[in-house]
Amino acid sequence: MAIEIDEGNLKQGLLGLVITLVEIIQDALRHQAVRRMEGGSLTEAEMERLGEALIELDSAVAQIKEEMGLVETVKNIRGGLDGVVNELIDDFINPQKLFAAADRERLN
Amino acid sequence: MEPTRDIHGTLSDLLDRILDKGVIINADVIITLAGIPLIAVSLKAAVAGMETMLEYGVMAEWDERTRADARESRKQTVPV
Amino acid sequence: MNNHNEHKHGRYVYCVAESVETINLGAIGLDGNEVYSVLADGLCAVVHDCSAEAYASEDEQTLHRWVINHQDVVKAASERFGTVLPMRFDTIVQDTEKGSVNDNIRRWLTEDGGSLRSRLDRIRGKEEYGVQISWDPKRIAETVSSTDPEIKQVEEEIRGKSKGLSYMYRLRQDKLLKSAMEKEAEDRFKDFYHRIEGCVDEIKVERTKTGEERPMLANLSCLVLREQSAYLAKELEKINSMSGFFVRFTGPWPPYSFVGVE
Repeated sequence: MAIEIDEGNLKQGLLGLVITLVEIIQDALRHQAVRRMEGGSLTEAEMERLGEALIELDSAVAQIKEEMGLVETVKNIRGGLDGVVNELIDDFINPQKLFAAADRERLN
Repeated sequence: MEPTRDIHGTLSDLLDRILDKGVIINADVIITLAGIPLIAVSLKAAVAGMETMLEYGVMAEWDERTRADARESRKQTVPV
Repeated sequence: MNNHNEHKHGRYVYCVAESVETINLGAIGLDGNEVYSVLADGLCAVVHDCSAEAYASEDEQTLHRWVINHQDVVKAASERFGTVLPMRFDTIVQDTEKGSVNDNIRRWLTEDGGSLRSRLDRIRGKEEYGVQISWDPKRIAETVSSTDPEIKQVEEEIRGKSKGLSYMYRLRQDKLLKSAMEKEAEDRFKDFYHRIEGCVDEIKVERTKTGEERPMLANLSCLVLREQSAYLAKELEKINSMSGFFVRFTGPWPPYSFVGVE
């Protein structure tokens, strides 16, 4: 993945990166929120407040992206990051290994 | 179904094979174009690190602490 | 770009075959070079003369032209020899202090003869096909959502909840759907793998590609006995007709994916 930033789009690029990072943190927050919820450690009132806060965050980020014309930029950076992560995860849990092991078992 | 044979429609499949596969000679007599893609290795490691942290609940502890702080300080903030 | 006609201290190698006679395939090589074989010990390397430099170009069109040309030479050679070991693109043997470029090729064919022969045996009379199966996650998610009891239950619970709470339940539902989809992908992969395995000689799981039109579920290279691809084609037809699943079937290829050292 290459994040191309030249002088002309430097500001836009940086802003895009920042918002992308904010979105990733948002994902982490949602992830944790669901875990808390599933773990049963949140009261109903806490869940309500958490939910509302996340909604506000969602709309604030969406608004910034819209206003700054960053929708496409962020989408592209995230797409690139996803590609990098998938590639990496693939290396660890490549199904090839799974089936190679099964094949060996069958041969023995 | 019939396999696609059209060379233009399958160029990417050909590139996958011809650039990454095929016999490689392992000897000092060989020159070959090192087709190493420019991958940001450190970036990959960083991103994977975050994933792992999430998976193994490193941030759960952080989250727990933050919530406790929020309760103690009795602020009207959301515990996240 | 290189000037490959100035110095002839390199040989661009297309493939290796079993042979006892020197042949000339004519001017079908990269940039119209003459393709011929260098013989040693019952094996031959199909080559053209070039300078001892890799073929490199910034121009994508040029690279594509070379790659397609490489493939065409391998094809022509396999028509001549029956079975060939295709080399990776841009494999060039050069002159060294140990000997001339042709001596080096002969030394390689002789020293690696055992390994080259066993690899030739593995692919004899066989061809490679590419099978890529992708899916339409939206369509599959609809099916999964309407059948998964847990997801349906959360859907019930969301009704009548306040804004913040229903957002939280929606997050939980998304998570359930995500893991149900992952399970679905895994189950489908296994099912397809075993069905395809039954129709082919060897199967190899490749890295799935991202950024395609639809997410890819399986990327397989299959080694199939020549003239026996009909079984595979029939099975793929069945998978392709399943709602939400799409098969891309390419080939026959020289068995590039089955000639490397395992």
